[in-house]
Amino acid sequence: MLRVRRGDRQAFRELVERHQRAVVQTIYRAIGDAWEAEDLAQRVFLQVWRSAGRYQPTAKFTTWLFTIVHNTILNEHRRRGRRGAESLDALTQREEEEGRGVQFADTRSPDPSQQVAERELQARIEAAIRRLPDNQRTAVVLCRFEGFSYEEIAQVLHCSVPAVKSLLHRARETLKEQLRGYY
Amino acid sequence: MVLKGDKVTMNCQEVQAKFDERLDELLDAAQRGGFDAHIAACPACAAQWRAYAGVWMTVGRHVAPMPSVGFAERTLRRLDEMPVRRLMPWFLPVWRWGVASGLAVIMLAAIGWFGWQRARFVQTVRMPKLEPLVEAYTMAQQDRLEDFDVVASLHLLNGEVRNESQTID
Repeated sequence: MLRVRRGDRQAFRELVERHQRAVVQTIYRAIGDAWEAEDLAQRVFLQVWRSAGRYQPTAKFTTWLFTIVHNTILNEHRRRGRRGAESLDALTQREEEEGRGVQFADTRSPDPSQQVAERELQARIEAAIRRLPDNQRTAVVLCRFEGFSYEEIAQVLHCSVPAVKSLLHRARETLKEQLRGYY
Repeated sequence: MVLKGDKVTMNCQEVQAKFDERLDELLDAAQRGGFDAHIAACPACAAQWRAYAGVWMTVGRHVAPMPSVGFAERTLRRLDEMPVRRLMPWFLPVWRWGVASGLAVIMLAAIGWFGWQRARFVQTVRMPKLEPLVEAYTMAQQDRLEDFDVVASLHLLNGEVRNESQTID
């Protein structure tokens, strides 16, 4: 990151390659659109390049990076507005009601019912994560998929460690309700 | 929680309050031992723990798509397309602050001048015009009072006349 601060493009490229998976997947879990997630992830990295001068080496880089990711997601949700969010929920609901996996069932594969069940499970988890409030979702994604500690999550969300514990607990209770029958 | 030697014993309430810490591997060895021992002995807590841990395991099975091939190259290309701020002195923070401060001073001066002019206008143009109005109003009030006195006198006169006529009848 110190090399990036000096304007080293090769260092920036390495940084993008190292963190692209985590950034794209975190945004995807919040937005639910792979193309949009890549576009936003690129904006995150451009923001990193632009704000490199403000980065304090005392802070852990991933914490700083995911603060930008979280803010980008918040801005995107704000931009889409209430109407957009409602239509997204409606779409998710419809997909669930119609049983999205059934449409793509391939009877020639060795175990189609298992594939259908797996696809349905993936859609269900995705919808459940996306429905969580922003802070709860970020806490869950960082804790479950990126292995962040409570302290690191607290730094990203600008809150206290007990607040992170509370966010995670509430998120787990909600997920337990929404994924009933899948665990 | 009760500490017996190196072992910790927990009741149902304490165990359920530790679900999150057990999931996130935040319990020390003694607490973990106490937690696991209680779960092994208590079917109700075991069922709740299975559900709580199960949903976390299920969430962990979610597979998000990987970035597409060439993601880093495309990001660098976008970086090239970004406007180069350093070449434009107006975007430099020092200039930006200077321009913003200058504009703020000009606006404040304009507001001050406009306020001063308005105050002068009120003093020199509007105020003198009030005097004749006040004068006219005072005169009108006096006229009305006079009118009132006349009317009252007439009424009084009429009454007296009527009274007189009654006495005559």
